[in-house]
Amino acid sequence: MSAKLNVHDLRKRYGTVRALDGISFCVNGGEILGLLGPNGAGKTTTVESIAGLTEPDSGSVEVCGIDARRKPREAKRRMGLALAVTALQDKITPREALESFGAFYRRRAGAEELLARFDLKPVAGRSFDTLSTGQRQRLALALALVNQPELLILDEPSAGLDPEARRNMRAAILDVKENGGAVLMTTHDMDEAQRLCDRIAIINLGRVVAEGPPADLIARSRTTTTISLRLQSPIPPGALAAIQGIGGLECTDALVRFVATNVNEALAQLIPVLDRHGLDIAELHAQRATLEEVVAGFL
Amino acid sequence: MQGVLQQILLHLRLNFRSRMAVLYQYLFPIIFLAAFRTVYRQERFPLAMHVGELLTITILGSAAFGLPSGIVSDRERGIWRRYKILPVSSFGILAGTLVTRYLLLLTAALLVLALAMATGMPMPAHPFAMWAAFTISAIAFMGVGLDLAMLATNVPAVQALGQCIFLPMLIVGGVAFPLSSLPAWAQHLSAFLPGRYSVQAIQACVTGTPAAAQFDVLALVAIGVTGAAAGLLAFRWDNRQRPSPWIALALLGWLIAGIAAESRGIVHVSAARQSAARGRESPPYSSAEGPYNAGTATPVSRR
Repeated sequence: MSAKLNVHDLRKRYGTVRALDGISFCVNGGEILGLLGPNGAGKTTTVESIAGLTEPDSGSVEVCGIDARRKPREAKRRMGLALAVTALQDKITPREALESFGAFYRRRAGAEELLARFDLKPVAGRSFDTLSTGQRQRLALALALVNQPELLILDEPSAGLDPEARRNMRAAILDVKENGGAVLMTTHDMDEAQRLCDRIAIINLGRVVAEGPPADLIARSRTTTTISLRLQSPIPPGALAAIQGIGGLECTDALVRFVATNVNEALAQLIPVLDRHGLDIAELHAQRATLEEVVAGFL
Repeated sequence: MQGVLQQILLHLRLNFRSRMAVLYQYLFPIIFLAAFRTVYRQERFPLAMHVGELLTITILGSAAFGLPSGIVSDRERGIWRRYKILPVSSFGILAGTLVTRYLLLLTAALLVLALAMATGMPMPAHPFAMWAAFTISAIAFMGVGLDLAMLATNVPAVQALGQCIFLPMLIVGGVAFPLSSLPAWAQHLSAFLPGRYSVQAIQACVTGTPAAAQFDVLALVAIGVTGAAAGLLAFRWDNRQRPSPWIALALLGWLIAGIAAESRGIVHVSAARQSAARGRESPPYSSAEGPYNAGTATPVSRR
């Protein structure tokens, strides 16, 4: 699969702050890459550098094989971008926005089709200043797709969207992917990232600190699994003290809870102890680390 | 190109949806028209000798306040950033904005002329030449407005900077008061300001001969070209960008015009010379055949 976006060694300083400190990654056609990281990690600066909104100090950005820094207009024709906050003129209507923005592209989607797809038909003739946050966000997404982009870049796309609008947004993103396009999205919504993204790049202090499919990142992380047990009868105090490799042990009557890095090893030690005390397990839950915990673990 | 044309149509529609913009665009020149009509009510052809001033004030108001306020307000709110994502140059976006502004200005000028003619002013002697002079003046002043927009960081700053251009141009720049009534130092100063050239170029086409305004037109072109170039080179898509030193280029046009006027010795204007330039004693209106023949002005006129 060819790379629709290739970012290499991108650097940007704001005074003494290194906003981007050599970021490199690529997004292939038919792939969704999620950029995760805390506020100030460099996600938005990365997106803005790719889109030409911010001029990086050094590094390269290739969009569909086009050097975006040397030929920004050609690159922009291939990409669609929805910023976290989209500002338009107060009195512009969604239909006018889609028609006037679409007029800048040779290849474009119909305004009516986009209005219907993002459930904007009922407000198509209303002025922008009367739209709700969710409607504005949906319009921003529709505008990002107005040129049927090969590369779709979304900065916090689900912020302010209701569940129905989120589903539409996810469907639109998957549609781009199924048609061979590439999607780069920043998000703080780990559930969304885990559901949608084929790969995730975790950014901190302007660098990519981890990259890979969500499942791989969870497996690679050194975060722990939480194990909860409900026993048939109360456990004697100190009975589990000898078990190695566990932490955060809490015993309350018949409830036991602890965390372990290696679950198999912890359970292998636990079962003989329970047998010795004649205790039977009524319920056993093992909760693996969430993506959120994994991301936090890499920072 | 299609995108820029769409932008022009869109901006025109959006402008007419804003009551304040419409009010400012048309009410402001009408107030000046009424003021001039009152001051010069005893002239035989009311307002005819003041079309240059009236249209220049219309252009100046739009350039010093309307145009830069719109650009800066949109930039402050992040609208220009959204446009930057589009595959269009800053020139393309600005061209759309400036053409829209020019068309609005033209409608305001036509309204002023229509009202002036409705109250007794005869048809301008050279309407097409007047339109050309008006257009060149508009381009020169819109370049100034663009520079103000690139210099100002917020709308209150536009108002402050706009006043710095607007008031001196009105008072000592030969726009609201005749050059011949100004002291020598003010006449020298006015040679470095575009207002006087705009007034003279337009007025020559209304009551005189367009050929007499050759220097004024060249001065306006110099001011317009340098102003527009400075505005484009210093263009700021968002407020995170600082004002560029390229803005200083705009002053080059003003300097060129002023120095050229000084070196040609055409800065000092006497009442007789101003009258001649305006056409009262110039052919083809020196005889009874023209509407603006000599000796028609009353004592309250520009002395």
